This record gives sequence, structure tokens and C-alpha cells, in this order.
Amino acid sequence: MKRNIISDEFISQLEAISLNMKGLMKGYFGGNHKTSSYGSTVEFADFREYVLGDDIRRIDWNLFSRFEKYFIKLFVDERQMHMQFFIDCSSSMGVEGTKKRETALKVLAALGFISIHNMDKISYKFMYGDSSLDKFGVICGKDAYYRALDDLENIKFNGEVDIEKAIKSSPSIGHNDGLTVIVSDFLTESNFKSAVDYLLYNKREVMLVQILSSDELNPGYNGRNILMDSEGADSIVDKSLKINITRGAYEAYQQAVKDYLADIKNFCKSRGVDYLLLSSDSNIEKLLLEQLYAKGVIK
Amino acid sequence: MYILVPLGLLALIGIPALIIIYIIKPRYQKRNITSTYIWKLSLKYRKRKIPLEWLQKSLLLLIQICVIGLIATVLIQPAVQVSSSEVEKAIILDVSYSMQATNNKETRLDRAIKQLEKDLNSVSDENKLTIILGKEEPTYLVRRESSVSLIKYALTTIEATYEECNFDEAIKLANTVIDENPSTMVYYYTDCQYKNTGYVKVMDFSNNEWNIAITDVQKEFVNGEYIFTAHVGNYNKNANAKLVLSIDDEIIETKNLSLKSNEEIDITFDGLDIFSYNNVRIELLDNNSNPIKDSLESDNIYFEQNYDNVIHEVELVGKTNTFMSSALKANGNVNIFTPKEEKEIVFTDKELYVFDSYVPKQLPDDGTVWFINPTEDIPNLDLVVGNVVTGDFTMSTTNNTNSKFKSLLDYVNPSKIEATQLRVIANTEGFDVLLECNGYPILLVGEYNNAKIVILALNLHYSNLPITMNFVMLIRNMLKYSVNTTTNKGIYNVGEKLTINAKTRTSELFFDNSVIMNSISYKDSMEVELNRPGIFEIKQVLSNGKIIIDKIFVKTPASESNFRYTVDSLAVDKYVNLELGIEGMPGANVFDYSKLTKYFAIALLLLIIVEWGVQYREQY
Repeated sequence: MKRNIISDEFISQLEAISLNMKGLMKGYFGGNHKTSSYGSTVEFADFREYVLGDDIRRIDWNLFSRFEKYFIKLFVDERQMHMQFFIDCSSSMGVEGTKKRETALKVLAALGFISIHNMDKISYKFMYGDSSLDKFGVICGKDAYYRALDDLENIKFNGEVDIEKAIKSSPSIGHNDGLTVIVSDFLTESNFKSAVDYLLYNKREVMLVQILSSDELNPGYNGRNILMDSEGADSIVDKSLKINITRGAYEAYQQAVKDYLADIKNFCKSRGVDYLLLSSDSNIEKLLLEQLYAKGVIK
Repeated sequence: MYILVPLGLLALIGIPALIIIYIIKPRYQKRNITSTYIWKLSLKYRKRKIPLEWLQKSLLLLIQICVIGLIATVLIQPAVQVSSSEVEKAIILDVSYSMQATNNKETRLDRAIKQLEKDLNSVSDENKLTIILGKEEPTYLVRRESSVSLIKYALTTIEATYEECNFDEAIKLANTVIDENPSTMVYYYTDCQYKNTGYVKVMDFSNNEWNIAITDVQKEFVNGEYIFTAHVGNYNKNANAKLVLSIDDEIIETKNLSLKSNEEIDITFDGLDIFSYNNVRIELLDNNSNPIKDSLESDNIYFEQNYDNVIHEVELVGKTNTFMSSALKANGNVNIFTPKEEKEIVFTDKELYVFDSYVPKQLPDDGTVWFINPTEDIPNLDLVVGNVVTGDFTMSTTNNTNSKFKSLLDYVNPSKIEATQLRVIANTEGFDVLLECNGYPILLVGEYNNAKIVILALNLHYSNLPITMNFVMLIRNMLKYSVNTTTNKGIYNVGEKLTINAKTRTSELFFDNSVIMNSISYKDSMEVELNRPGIFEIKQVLSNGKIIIDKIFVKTPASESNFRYTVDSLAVDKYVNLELGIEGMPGANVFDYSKLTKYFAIALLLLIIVEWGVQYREQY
């Protein structure tokens, strides 16, 4: 099936990124997942070829004697962290012409691919209203990933989302088993910070990926306007705003954007939560690499 | 400040129109965006309400209102009075008859001209001079002239007139100068004083000259006699005089007058049994019966030749005297001489000769000649008079509609004229035929040797013409054509035109001893312009040598004789600048609107720039 947003070319780029990241990754994706339960029973999951840096105590000598190659054993708790992606499917994320939807899907695809590539399992949870929809279930392996990818492009964005309620009401939030990525524009009055704290309480690693369009960062309109919120049609509360966008109003907007983003950043920093700000107009691949590099995810 | 173009205020209609536009135009447009969340957050970053914030919000509207207000201000052309360095003079010089009043051999006009010569000292390129001659039809002597030599020359051409000064027209000419230079000072050099002169400065060049005058004479015919009443005025001095009445050059009565200064009285001459007169003369004389030597002499006399009852001398030869004489008498003042015998027939000293059924051996040497039913060829004429034809004849007009004599048929109905006997006349070349019957010419009009000839080829005894009104009207027209009075009236005003009706066979016509017409230039009437007062003689020399003398009297305006002048108002209260359409007092002040308009235009331009800036700023 031909995909428009997550094209094969994009996948190829992700594979290239993944190959480059092999052996260099730490933190979330593969490598040394530190657990807090030493000595707990683990299931043998799989072998993989020994690479420089692996613990030599894990070398399976039986396989060496058979194949004269070094393989190490992998156990479940190290191998399969559960990456959960909560996607804000509100109208503001799906407005035509803003590319926020495309960017969000690419982020999901990229991070999902990286996770799958590193033998982690992932879940895509689509937030609608007060709840989140786990459409694909837990995705293990690339086959399941690609199947999910085909459907990803058909995801609809509409209505409002209460991030706090959607995340808190999610049944399988997990505990101490991976990263939760929240992809949204966070232009909401919903208390997403509470959701982050909830995730942290459940010993989830959290990453916030904020996607904003160029119009949201630098509005390209002025004059006397009645601004119609894309989520206003489904809202009980009138979200429209009558405003004369003068120079002063524009400057006030810029200040508000700056302060809001700074507030999110500071919150994340205070919680030890990673925060990525992506502009929907930018090159996602480049931006993703830069951001991940800046975060120390890759060297 | 004055508003020169009040209609410019209509531009202020733009202000309510602007406000309506602001009210009705859609001010906010809907725009779909992803989220209003940040915009709502930004509201708290807007500055707190500051005093007069409404002014900031309405700044653009206020500026636009100011722009419209300034546009209206520019359009109304506000003007202010500012002082001017130019002082130009416009002088109305009274050249009316009274300015000829003489005192110590110097007239008032002489003194005014001397003042004008002094005025030349201040003439320059900045201080021009205009001189307007104040007469019946005022004219510019010089206009806004700065050349002293040219003005000096112009002053030498000034002549006094016998007219009145038409100040109303003169001030209009002066006002045109003010229109061009509002700082112009207007002067009036005259011989009167005025209580209210408006913006005109009056200089009185009178010097208490004494004048006594006959300003008017009325005549009445009461109870069969003429009564003459003379209105006499005496100004600036007590005086004694004689008022003498003469009829037909004979002194009839003298009245002694003793008049106080500025006294006017009426003197009546009655009970003198004057039943008729040819001319009357009333004049003022001094106690020695000599003409009075006052400052104006032309108004000391009154003369009138009586043209009302001029009697025309007519000779009537013929058998139908009764019809003809009745018709003649009915149509004019005629004295008809009817010779009883052929030897009594005269051929001179008459204005009209009527030969009925008779042809003399010679034509008269003066006057007009009528031939009624000529019985034979007329001397000196090429006409061929034939026999009589009988029958039932009815007259008709000819096709000679362009004849200059066609007025002879006014009010005459030829179709009602019948006859049973006609005289055949042939070879009518040189004569206009006005009436005919069956091709026979009946009424012919022509001229011979400057004499008028009228021929009626009808025997009145064999026609109904004499007993119809047509005859009276025909004789009336013929008489009017044949005889005339020298002039219509005996008294004229200076400036009028005199029409002199030449007698038939006038070989020379003189007016005031100058030839104005001779046999070569003979016309029925001549026009002469009367440009000075006095008694004038009209002399006509007829071809037979007879001389006819008539007189007329040309008088000066009565107002010019009245030296008792202190007029209340100069009939000019305020000056109206027709170009600017505003009233004001000319002189040292001028109306200047150009500078004010310029400032307002600059302010308007600056305001438009500010408005553009504010608009741009609002839309960043």
C-alpha cells in the first residue's frame, strides 16, 4: 500500500539513521536499559551477535562452539521496553495546510521505527476527547509495525482532547517499563502537566514532543479579525476571539508564545522530562536528528 | 477672517459620510486558525488601560476627520485683511458744467487740474494713478498709469463739459481699479461737499462762486393767453437783478429781483395778453440791463421758438377748392391762398402749390407742387398728358412695393376709390406710380429740380374720392410728405441730437453759421449733435434765394446751476469686491487669501502623511 506521509523513502532514511545509531544508542532505545529490580526472574528471549562493548558474561559458549561466532543472550526485561506514544488527535493538530498532522505522523513513525528496530514494543494511543484509543495494541516486530504504519495515515484529527483525562484513563499505562511520548501542540487548557506527573509516578520515562505550525509561532495575519478556533465547533465554550491585531497585539502574542514555551520547557526540565519543539514547516528528518543529538540520544 | 467660497463648506459633508463608512463597513473578518489559546494568553500582555485609550483607538478616525476639515478650509478660501505697502490713487474728476464756474479768471476745473498736477509727485511704478472723467458717460483719462509724462500730457487734453457728472457710473470704473489693487484710494474732485462719503475722499474745489440762474421756465395757456413762470436761483451772494421777458424780440415786461444768497423763487409773467408767439426770451440782466457777469453765464437766459403752431403757406388753384381746402385744413396748420384770377397766381413764397385741373405755364420756384387732373403737359416734365377716358373705374395699387413714397397710401383703401373719368398720362419715366386703374397711372410721385411733384390723374368731380375718408387720409399723407417743420421742438439739452428737416428746394442749410448741407448733399433731414448751450440759428437758403431762419435753444442741466450743494450722501456706502464677493473698505488693507490657503494646504499635506503613517503602523 502506498503511503503518502510515511513513505518508503522516509523509512529508508529511518533505517539509515538506525544503522548509524547502532551501538551508539543509550538511554531510551536499546542498549543498557537499567532496571530497578536486580535478581528478579527473567525470561530468555533471544540471541544476538556479540558486538564490542557487550558484557562478555552473557556470551553463549554453546553457540560459539557451534558457529564459532560470539552471541549473547537477551532477556525480556532488557530487551522489550514498552514505548507508548500518546497522540493528540484534536482538530488543532489536523488543520489543513499546517502540516502538523504530517509532522506528528512522521514523528510517530520515526520514533516507533527506532523503538522496533531496537526490539522494543510500542503502542500507539490516539487521544480523542477524554480517552485514548489503542487501535493497534502492542506492536512487536517490524511486520506488525509496518502494518500499523499503513493505517497510521488514515488517522482522523477532530474535536477536542483533554490530555490529562485521556492519559490517566488509559488502562495499560505501564509501570517502570519504558518511555511515554506525548505528541501534541499543547495548545490546550487541559492540565497535561498533571498527566506528566502521573506518568512519572508510574515510573515511566516521559518525552513531550510539541508540534507547532509557522502560523502559531509567527502569525502572518493582522487587522481586525474574529479568530475561529478549529476546535470551537465541537466545544461547548465559545473559543472564538475578536481581536484587532495591531503591532502591540502581535508583540504581545510573541511574548505569550515565548513565555508559554519556556514554561513547558521549564516544567519538563524540572521533572527531568525531555522536550522537543518541532515546527511543522521544518525538515523532520533533520530536525529529529538534531534534536535527538542535542538530547544526547545519539552521539 | 472672511470666507470667500462658502460653498466649500459642503466638503464637511465628508465627515458624517466618513463616520457612516466606519459604522457600516465590516470591521472584523472571520479567520480560521488552529487555536486561539495563545492569543487569549496574549491578552494579558497587552498594556493596561491608559488614560485616553479611546483616543488611541480613534486616532485614525480623528486624523481623517481633520483631513476633511482642512480640505473644506482650503476650499472656502479664507481671507484676512493685511496691510499693504502699495497706495494707488483713483481720482474721479468732475468735469460737469458747474466746474466751469469762474472765480478770479480761474475755474473750478482749473484748480482741480492743478491739484492733479501735484498728485503727480507721488506717482511711481508702485503708486499708479487713475483719472476718471466724471461726465454723462464717464471714461478713463488714464488708468493705472505710472508714467508721469504721459499723465501730464493727458491732463492737457481735459475739456470741461456742459453735462452732469454721472458719479454712479464713475465709481464703477474706480471700483475696477480696486478689484485689481485693493489698496487703491478713491478720490472725487468736485465742487460739492458731502456728509457721508463712504470710502471715497472728496475734495471740494468750489470757492463760493456766485451764480444766479434761470433754472426752469414753465408756460401755460390759460384763458386764451400764455403765462410764463421762470424759476430763478441765486447762490452764494445777495444779488439784485432784472428778469426781462421778450416776445418775438420785443421786450414785454421787466421785473426787478432782489435775492438773498441761496434763495430760489418763481417769477410769473401773466396778464400780458400774449395770445400767440413765435419766440419767447427770458433773461437775467444786471441793474444796467447788461448781461450778468456771474460765474456761469449760459444759465442766465431762456429762449424758445414756438414750433407748436407752424403755419404752412398753401396756394390752391382750381375748381374743387371746397373739397381740397377742407381736407388741407383738417390735416394741418395751413394758410390757404386761393387766387381769384389767373394773374393772382403766385409761384413763390409758398410751401405747397395745388393746381386742380389747371397747369401753369411755369413751375413754382419753391415748395411742393400737386397737380390734380392736369389738363395738359406740365412744363419741364417729360410726362405726356393725354385725353380723358370715361368708364367705370376702380383704383388699385401697383406692384411698386419698394417705392419710397409708398407711405402716401397709408390708411388709404384704393379699391374703394371709384371714378368715371380719368386723365391719361403717359411717359411716366422718373415717377413712381402708386395707384393705377386698368393700366392707367393715377397717383404719381416724383421730383424735379429738388422739388417734390405729386400728380393725381383724377377729376375729383367724376370720382367718389372727395366724399370718402380715403380723400382725407390721402391728403394727410400727401401733406405730410410735402411740407414739414424745420425741427420738432425748440428746446434741447446739451448732448441731445437735433434733427433738421430741410425745406423743399433748400440749396444750403446752415447751423450755427456753418454749412451742414448743400444741393449736392441734399437730404430731407440732417442730424446735428448739440454739445454746448446757447441759442442756435438754423438757416435755410432756398433755390429761389429765399432765406428761412429758425432757432433753437440748448440749455444746461438745472442741477449744474445750483451752487447750494451740501449733499447728504455720496451714494456709495461700501465697496463690494466683485471678484472676492465680499464687502470691505479698500485703502491700506488688502484681502489676502493666498497665504492662508497655502498654510492650510501645507497642514493638510502633513496631516495626510501622519494619517498614512498611523494607518501603516496599525497594519504593521
